[in-house]
Amino acid sequence: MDKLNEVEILLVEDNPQDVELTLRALKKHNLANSVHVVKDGAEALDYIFASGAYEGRDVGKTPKVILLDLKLPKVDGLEVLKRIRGNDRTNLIPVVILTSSKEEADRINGYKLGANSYVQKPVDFDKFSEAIRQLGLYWLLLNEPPPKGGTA
Amino acid sequence: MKIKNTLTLSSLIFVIFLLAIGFLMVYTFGQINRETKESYKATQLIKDMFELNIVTYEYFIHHEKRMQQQWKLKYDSSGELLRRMIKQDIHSEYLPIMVSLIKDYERLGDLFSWILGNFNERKKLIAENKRQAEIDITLAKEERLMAQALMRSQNITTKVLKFSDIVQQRIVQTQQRAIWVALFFIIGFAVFASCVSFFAIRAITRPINELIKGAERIGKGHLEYNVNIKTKNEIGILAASFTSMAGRLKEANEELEQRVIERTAELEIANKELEAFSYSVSHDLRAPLRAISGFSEMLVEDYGDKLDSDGRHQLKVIQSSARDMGQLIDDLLAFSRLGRKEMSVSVIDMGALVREVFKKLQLAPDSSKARLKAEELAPASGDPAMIREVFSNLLSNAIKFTEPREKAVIEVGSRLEGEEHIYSVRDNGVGFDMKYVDKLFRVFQRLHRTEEFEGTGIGLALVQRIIHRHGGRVWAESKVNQGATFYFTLSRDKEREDG
Repeated sequence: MDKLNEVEILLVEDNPQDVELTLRALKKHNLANSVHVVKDGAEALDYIFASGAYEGRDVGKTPKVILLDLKLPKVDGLEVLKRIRGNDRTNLIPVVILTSSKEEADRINGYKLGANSYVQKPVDFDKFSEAIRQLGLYWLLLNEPPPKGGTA
Repeated sequence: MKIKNTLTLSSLIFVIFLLAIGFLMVYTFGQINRETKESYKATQLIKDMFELNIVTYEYFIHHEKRMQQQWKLKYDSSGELLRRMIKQDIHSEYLPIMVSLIKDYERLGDLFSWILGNFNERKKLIAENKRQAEIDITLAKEERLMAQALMRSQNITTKVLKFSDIVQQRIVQTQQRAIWVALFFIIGFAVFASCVSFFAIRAITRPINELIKGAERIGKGHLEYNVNIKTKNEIGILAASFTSMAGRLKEANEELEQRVIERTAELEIANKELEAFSYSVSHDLRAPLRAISGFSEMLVEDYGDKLDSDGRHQLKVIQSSARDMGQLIDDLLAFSRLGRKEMSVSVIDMGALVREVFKKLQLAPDSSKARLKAEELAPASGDPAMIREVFSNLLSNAIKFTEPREKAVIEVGSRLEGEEHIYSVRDNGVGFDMKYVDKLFRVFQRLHRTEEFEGTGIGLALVQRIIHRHGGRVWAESKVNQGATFYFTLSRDKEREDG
């Protein structure tokens, strides 16, 4: 299902239930075709920068949006964001922080580091589903993505 | 120590002085008394001698038998007086005079006897008719003797007068002496008293003033001030203990400050730990809840047709419970976060805030079509985020409880009373029974069942907490089915609001 060449959404999420729920929500609204899931910060960086297990991938082929959870094992979400924004080839990729946290500090830091959006995952599934739908519709259909390859 | 001794010594000396003066007075008076008595005696003697003199003269002039007898009487009585005076304790310096007086006196007596004898002899001669020449001899003898007697008598008088003078002089001398001694003692007393007061000033008053000054300085907070008293007496000791007390106070103060710093650091650590805890709670509790909610929804969607209505109902319960729990967590977190957050006070445009909050509430998918009437609201001083929470809660409550109404109206107003602004949010909703007004603002206390109106019961507790932190009051009035009005006050900050 993951066509590495045509990934539109990179979902960075460690909680398998949340992954399942997100995928289901996307599927419901026909947005699940090109989702790639990575389960921690390190894997996310490996994917984005085509290292480790993803050696050989074309770095220039950036996703249309990255849905980034904050509390991740190995490498923390904000650190991943920092690295993405620090690299010329990837610094334009839209990043939506998708997290359970309501902490103001997380929100401030997220925006400071250059996130495009900050969404708190609702507990209620209906609301969650609706949020995913809106995100998907906006970032995949309405929004004009930046050119691939960043500012390089 | 020394002051006590000195005072005791002074008192002793005082007493001795007084006793000495008293003794002296008594002695002097006694002396004067004695000498006055002697003076009386002398006066008496003078009188007697004068009378003796007179009687002697008279007798010599008249030669009467009666005179003779009188003379004898007078002579005897004066002699007795004289002898008595010598016998009693008389001053040694009087003695010579008295002795010579006695001599004269006895001589006089002798002379008188001789004159008498001579007189009798003449009488005999005359009676025996002797020759005139013999009678003349006796006359001549008589003249001679009388002259001598008179001279003696005169001598006696003179001596007695001299005696009287001496006695008077003595009295005057004694008096003068007494006055001098008394003066001496009085001056001595005065000098002594000034010495005592001088000492008192030096040893007591001045150090006490130093002590007072020291106490004032220390009282103002200069705990290191050293009370500078060098005297080695009780006051010196007092000063030393005073200074050491101040020193100990300073130490205690510093100790307390240190403890406060430590305690504050401890509290800050505890606070940070609490924040970390709240964060994990908020984060980690939500994920499983989301799973519960999501997966039960998935169950309904995927296998709902295989379930009967009971089954679907049970799943619905699971979902709504998860939703409630989520809300509860959010509310609790907000409530606890409020206590720890620092207030940043500024002037708030209450009218704009109310309209903004209301609009946001209206955007929620299942909001009612309530109408907001916000008149001119006075600006207030407070933490904008917190006051926003207050209106959010009050307005969402108003919206919630006016849902059953056809025409839901929510009025927000303000008025100024004295030094505080009173804001009110009134709705025409279902209201509540004033009987339960006390429970209204407590955490998780609700006056309606969840089926009637949803909610966790924390909204008003939050409102109260925020307003109390601003130093204001909250209260509510209502009649069942006739709407409710919620009031809160914010104190007026003239400077901020006018400036």
